[in-house]
Amino acid sequence: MAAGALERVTGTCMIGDAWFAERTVDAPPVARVDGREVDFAEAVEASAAILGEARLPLVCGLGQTDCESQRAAVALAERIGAVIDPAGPVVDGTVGAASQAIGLSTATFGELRDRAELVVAWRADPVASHPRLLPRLRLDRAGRATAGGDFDRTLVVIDVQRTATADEADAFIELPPELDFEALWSMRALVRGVPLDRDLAARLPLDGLGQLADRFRACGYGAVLPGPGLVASAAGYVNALALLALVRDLARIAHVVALPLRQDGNARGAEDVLAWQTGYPAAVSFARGHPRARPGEFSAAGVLERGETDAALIVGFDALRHLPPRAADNLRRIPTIVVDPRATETAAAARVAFATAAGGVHREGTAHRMDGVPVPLPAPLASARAGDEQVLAAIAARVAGAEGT
Amino acid sequence: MLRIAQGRVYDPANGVDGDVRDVCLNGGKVVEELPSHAPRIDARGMIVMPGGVDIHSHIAGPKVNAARKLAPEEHRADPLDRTAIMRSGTGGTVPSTFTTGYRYALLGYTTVVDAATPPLAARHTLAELRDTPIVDAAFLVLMGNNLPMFELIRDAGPDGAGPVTEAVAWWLEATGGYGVKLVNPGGVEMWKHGNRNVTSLDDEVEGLGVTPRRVLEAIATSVDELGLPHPVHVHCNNLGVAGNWRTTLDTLDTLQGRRAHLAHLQFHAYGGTPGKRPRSRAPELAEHLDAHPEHSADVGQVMFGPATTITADAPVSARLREITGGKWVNADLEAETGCGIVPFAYRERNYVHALQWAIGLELFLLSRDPWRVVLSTDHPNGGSFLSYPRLIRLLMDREFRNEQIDRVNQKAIRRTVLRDRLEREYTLGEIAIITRAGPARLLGLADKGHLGVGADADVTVYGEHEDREQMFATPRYVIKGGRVIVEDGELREAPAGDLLRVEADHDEAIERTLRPLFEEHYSVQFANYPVREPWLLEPARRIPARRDGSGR
Amino acid sequence: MPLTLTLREPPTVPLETEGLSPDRLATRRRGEIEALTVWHGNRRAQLADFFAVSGNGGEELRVEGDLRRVKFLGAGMTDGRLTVAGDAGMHTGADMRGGELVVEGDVGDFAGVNMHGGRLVVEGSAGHQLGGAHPGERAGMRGGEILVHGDAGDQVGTGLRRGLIAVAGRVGDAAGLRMLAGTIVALGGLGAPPGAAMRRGTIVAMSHVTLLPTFAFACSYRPPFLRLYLRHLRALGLPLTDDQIEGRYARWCGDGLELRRGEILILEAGR
Repeated sequence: MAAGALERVTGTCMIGDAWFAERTVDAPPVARVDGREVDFAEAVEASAAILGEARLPLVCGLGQTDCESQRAAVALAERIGAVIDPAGPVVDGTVGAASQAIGLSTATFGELRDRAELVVAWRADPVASHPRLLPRLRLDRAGRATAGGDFDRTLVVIDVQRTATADEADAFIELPPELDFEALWSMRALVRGVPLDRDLAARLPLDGLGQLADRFRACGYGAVLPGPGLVASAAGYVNALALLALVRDLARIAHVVALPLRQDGNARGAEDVLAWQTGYPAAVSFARGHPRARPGEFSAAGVLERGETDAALIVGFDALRHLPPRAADNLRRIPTIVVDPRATETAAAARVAFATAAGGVHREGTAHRMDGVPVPLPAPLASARAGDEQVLAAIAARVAGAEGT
Repeated sequence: MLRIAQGRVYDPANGVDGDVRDVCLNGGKVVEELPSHAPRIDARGMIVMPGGVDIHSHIAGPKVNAARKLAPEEHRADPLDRTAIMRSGTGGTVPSTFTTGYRYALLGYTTVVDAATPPLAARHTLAELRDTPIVDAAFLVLMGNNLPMFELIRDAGPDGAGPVTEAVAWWLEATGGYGVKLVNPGGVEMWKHGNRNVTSLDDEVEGLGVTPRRVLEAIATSVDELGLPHPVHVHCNNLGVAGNWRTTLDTLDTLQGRRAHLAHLQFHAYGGTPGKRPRSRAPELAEHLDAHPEHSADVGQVMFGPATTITADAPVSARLREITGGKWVNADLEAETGCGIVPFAYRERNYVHALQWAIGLELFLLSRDPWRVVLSTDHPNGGSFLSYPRLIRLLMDREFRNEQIDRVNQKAIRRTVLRDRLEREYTLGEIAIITRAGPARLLGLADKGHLGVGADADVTVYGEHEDREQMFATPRYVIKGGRVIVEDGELREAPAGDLLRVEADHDEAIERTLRPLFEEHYSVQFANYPVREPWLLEPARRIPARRDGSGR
Repeated sequence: MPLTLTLREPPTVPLETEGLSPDRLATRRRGEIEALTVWHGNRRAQLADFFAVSGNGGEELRVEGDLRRVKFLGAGMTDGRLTVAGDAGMHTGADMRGGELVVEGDVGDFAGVNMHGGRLVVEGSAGHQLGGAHPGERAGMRGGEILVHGDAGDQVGTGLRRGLIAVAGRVGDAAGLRMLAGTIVALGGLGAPPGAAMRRGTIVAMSHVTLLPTFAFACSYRPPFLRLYLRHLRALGLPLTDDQIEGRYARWCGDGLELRRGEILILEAGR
């Protein structure tokens, strides 16, 4: 660091470098209303006016901010009677929703690193998406022998085509995406010794799946890493259900866990905060004064696609780039408030845009890793700007002031 | 300033048993006297007790939150609106944080201990407690399946706990915790070795050179050496297994001469042989406890109806999963613990459930010292904390109890001494002991659970009512820190509660020992592990340990 | 003229109207009905703010207008007859216990969720999770009939425990997911995978279906009970042919991962 600016970031990966850079270069104006640079108070006033007037505001994003800001976002959503939904399901999949039907066996990364004899990446390509993950789990070839204790570790990849991760793996099973569910289901049968109809199973790579079932049988501790390709697709929910059911079956023959890989750094925190404050991890509506939740009805993408919301507050999420096209089109038609340290397309298009100090760069906070472990976020740089939490709290206070309560 | 005037006061810690007198509050404390013009509550004809103290509950942290996520159907059926003073939320057996705080307060409870936090997840528990209003809260730190700790115990040798003691103090300081919890020591670690467990105190934890007995001895010794206000809090091995009372007795024998608190004793009081129908061994355990003043327990009463089993004892959850066939969560937490969750319902007609219910009542009714056998349902494992009033009625009202006994599975009842129609009825004074004075004393919370001068101004005022369930379900007034929180069953304000954390010094040299162990076992950096964030740790009250070897 | 509620203009955000069922309005006076609470997004409003009320009470209720954003029409109704003239929004007929609800257009997602009795007729198409379960609940629909003249979306009859869901058009993916019992009839095609984790119950298809390999072929036969069911559906106005009613069906048992007491019946070509 030199003179309050960052010279060099060390100990991060390419994705980490990009993450840092987005939050530290080309700082946009602190606040804008209709593209015009304004002071903080005016932007807060404008936000409160929009949200106070809205009959069904939407609060979304949240996966890239800290838990403290997520906490403030839920409080604000409650205050304004909003629908609140983390970007999680759009970006990271539906394992959470599926686990409400049957539960989930999972573990933290340290457990995988030190115990997992078998790791299966199912439509996950962590070498590309999470470059630090495999070295950290000591799954890359060089590190494998040194993993906690002396056991052989096997990495198996199941995907549409060979990936960078598949190149590191001991075995690769090629599987077209439309067969994910059937393959998971047939694995369940193979694991439990339930007969399979050979004709109906003809399209599946049964040899590979059978070998995989044998590997699970022979291991003490196994792990499955489902990727977004499996659980964030159109069939994401049923795929997630099948995956969790498979892991549950496997857990009776070995110690087996699933750990979904996620893109947004604090998507897990958003779910956790929402769950402890409302009882529900996602897709919550406060419209009627108490939390109600239903994926599909109150998911951000669904509400926007159906054009049911009349204002949106977007926290740390480049919604226009990541939402399905129809949802993004509808988002352009309503007034939006964007709270984000980055200069995004969504921020540029917003009625009100706050450019904030970034958690983990300029502001301390906490985040929950994708395995649920809470970690402190440091603040290596100083910033005079408000953080997401302060912006959200200021808007909530202004709305409350206007209501006179 | 507030005078609670002319109520019948039950303050067993100070020998007050239904005397009609005033309780004076000022500056958040109980005081001797107040000027006559001080505001007053006319408590004539009412019952005045210290605020309730829950010694063993599960209200915050990753386990509880995982259980919340699992129960949308319960939450849908029990929503709470936002009001001018209340945040909205949802109830059920695992309520949202705000709702948890409000409902405990509405029940007259002002202090709650979360009984099981993985130290690695302390930040999460602290963040939830921050959103759990009104009640003062503490949490116990899980140490019974901790790999670095196992290494210290293994290397400590038989004569001294040395580094173990320093490590216990370090962990409490690093997390903001209050006390030490052991859950199925050694067994949860074995669960992660291909779904195994330990079945006796002398089973070796594979490859780690320790046994459950070694862990119990070392940690209990360390807790005593540190003079922690609360003794080691033990969830014994073999929970729920027929015949486990022998393990429980073995645990107590092992801990003889050291202070110890056994959690949810009911789940550890079964005779019979593993895999077969359990029977009751409550009389034997009650007798043993009576004879050992250094030991105490909370009951872990089972109440019929919905529950959610939430435990660090993950192998137990796998067994429950096979019984219910329903939802099941398992979550392994690196180097420290596990977690299992299974939603559950206790049914009157079911032999095992009825036996569990009856064993809990036996423990209450046979125990001669209410100060050492205190009330809990192991919320939400045996039932929600909202069922405490009903439990109190079962203890206070023999006729009601016998009616209930007649409704449940009679084969189970025949295996208990309840068949003899135990005569005992708890008095209001005894209820005040098992719900506030006793737990506060066992926790070493000198300012809680009584109404002597200098005590915290946490007071619950009940309207006298023949139906004790109704009486205890809806206090007329609840005062927390001198502020009237509940009036006529309605919440009036909802201030934040304090974090209650222990203050136990440690030798900083222990960090040199711990650092390499962390680097070996954790995926977080040692420097990032201790919680330092003021917004998570404040407002807190420090309760000092007395490290002079004398305990308390 | 039956009691008629006419939506003046489509609401800007969804309008939630749990109370709008004939049994609940039958005994109420005009002024009471006009004062009923509805929720326009996060604002509490009165029914009369959105609907014009005409006609008389009684066992019949008619709701008119562009109701695509009106949720919970007929939800929880126990008796009487409700006609929705046009499309209806989400949760139409959810938790229904009795009576008849006829939607003359399409319905949104979650129609007939957790239905316990009565009959829901959709003359257009239905969305996703028709006759499904509330989140976290094991069981979905527990009784009654749902007839759809158009198509239906994904996850029809999740957790179905009892009752009948019949769709004249195409049924989407994952129908009968985790179903416990009951019957689903798809006349116009069935997505994949049908009947995953079904324990008991019957799914009927009239054309080729991609089955999960955990289903096993049992026999080819003319199920007598099915004839009764299909005649009943024809009497209710679904387009069933004699070939379908009298035809031979291949019976597949499953799901092998559950009890294997469920069946998927597929009409065989020819007779």
